[in-house]
Amino acid sequence: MRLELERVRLPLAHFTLELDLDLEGDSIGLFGESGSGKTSILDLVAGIRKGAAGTVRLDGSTLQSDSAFVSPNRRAIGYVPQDLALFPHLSVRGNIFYGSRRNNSDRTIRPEQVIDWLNLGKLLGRRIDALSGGEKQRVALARAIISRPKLILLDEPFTGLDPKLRQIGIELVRQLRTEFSIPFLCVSHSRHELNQLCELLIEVAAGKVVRTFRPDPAASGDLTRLN
Amino acid sequence: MSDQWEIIVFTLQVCFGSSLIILPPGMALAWWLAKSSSRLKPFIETIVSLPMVIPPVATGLILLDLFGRRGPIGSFVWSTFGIDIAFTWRAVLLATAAMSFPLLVRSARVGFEAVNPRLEQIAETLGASFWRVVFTVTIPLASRGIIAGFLLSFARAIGEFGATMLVAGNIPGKTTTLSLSIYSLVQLGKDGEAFSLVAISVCIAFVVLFVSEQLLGKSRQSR
Repeated sequence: MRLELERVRLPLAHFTLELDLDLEGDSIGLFGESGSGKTSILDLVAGIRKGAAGTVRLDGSTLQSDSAFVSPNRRAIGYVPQDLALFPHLSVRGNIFYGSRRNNSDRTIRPEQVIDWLNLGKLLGRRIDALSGGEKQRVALARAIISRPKLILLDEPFTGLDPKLRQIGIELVRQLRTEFSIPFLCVSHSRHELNQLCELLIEVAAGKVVRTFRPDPAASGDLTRLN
Repeated sequence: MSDQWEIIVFTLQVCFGSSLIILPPGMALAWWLAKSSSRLKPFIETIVSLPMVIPPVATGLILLDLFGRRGPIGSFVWSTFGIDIAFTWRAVLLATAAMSFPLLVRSARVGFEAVNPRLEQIAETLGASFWRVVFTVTIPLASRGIIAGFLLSFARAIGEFGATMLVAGNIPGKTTTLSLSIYSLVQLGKDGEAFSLVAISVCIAFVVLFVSEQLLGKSRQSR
């Protein structure tokens, strides 16, 4: 997967997001302090926010430029936001199949495979408010995968989970690549989590990229939080 | 009693019809008011709320001027379709719709404002078109406010008097509603019959308002 953010500018409340990145990799992590603009970068890639200037490309296809803007429903980019944004009026089944009708993706993913993999079979008829935090997280992930995206954006996917569930979650995200060959861009304030998951890390502060680097596997035991 | 029963049925039919007619434009306007940041918004909000504060007879007079056979809209409808509006059941529909429109818009707007925009954004990332998002996420989640608005507009329509009197008159068997009938009965000194209609009006209004308040309360809580 190749994601290019070329001279992108997005004014935010306290600073302007300014990005000039050319990223190649199937597991990219984005970390930085709270309020540094991480979620805004995901919104920009998803098309939920429109940059004031610059070009965004995914695998060579232009998503945004000065003369073009591809709307979120035509980008084939899955998004698991921090609050999960599950549809409260739909059942688990209604949620995870919501994006299955997408017709602008060439990927083939069998929903049954996703449901088995995430162990959601027994939950399909349940209401969203009857699920635990970990179950909700799995439903949100399944919903994004079943929409057959070219890229999945994960915003703080392990926040609010206890250490055991967090480790299970990390393992599931790692398997996104092996099971479904879906690349991901994952935001976290915990560099430790990203060290375990990603081949490329980006540190962001006040809307600017501080550094881009390959994580040191030896540092994966480092539990230091950066916030 | 059969006359009273006819009046009750006519009133319920016309009021239900007027609430149904204003539902689509009312929902569209409520959605726009909830989502838009246009500079025109305060101006439009004020215009929409005007029928709630100006005298109903003034609204009736404006409607009569517009929809009477010599008015710009009324003359067009008469010459094109051969249909009269003023002093017919259509005028009752028009007057009740005009008077209850602001209530529908205000309640539906509360419902739309309670919808978390993040849900609509994520639905889009899942490939949903604008209209699919509106019909599968926005409207279902705003439904409490919309239904409450529908019920409130229905209740307001049942109580409508001034504007209806001006634009539809009080023609027995043709345009007489519950409120107009109560007025006529009092004028004739038939207070007992008037009170039986008052009791029916109060019962209908109580049930409708109670249900709509329950729905609006839940809608506000989910904000």
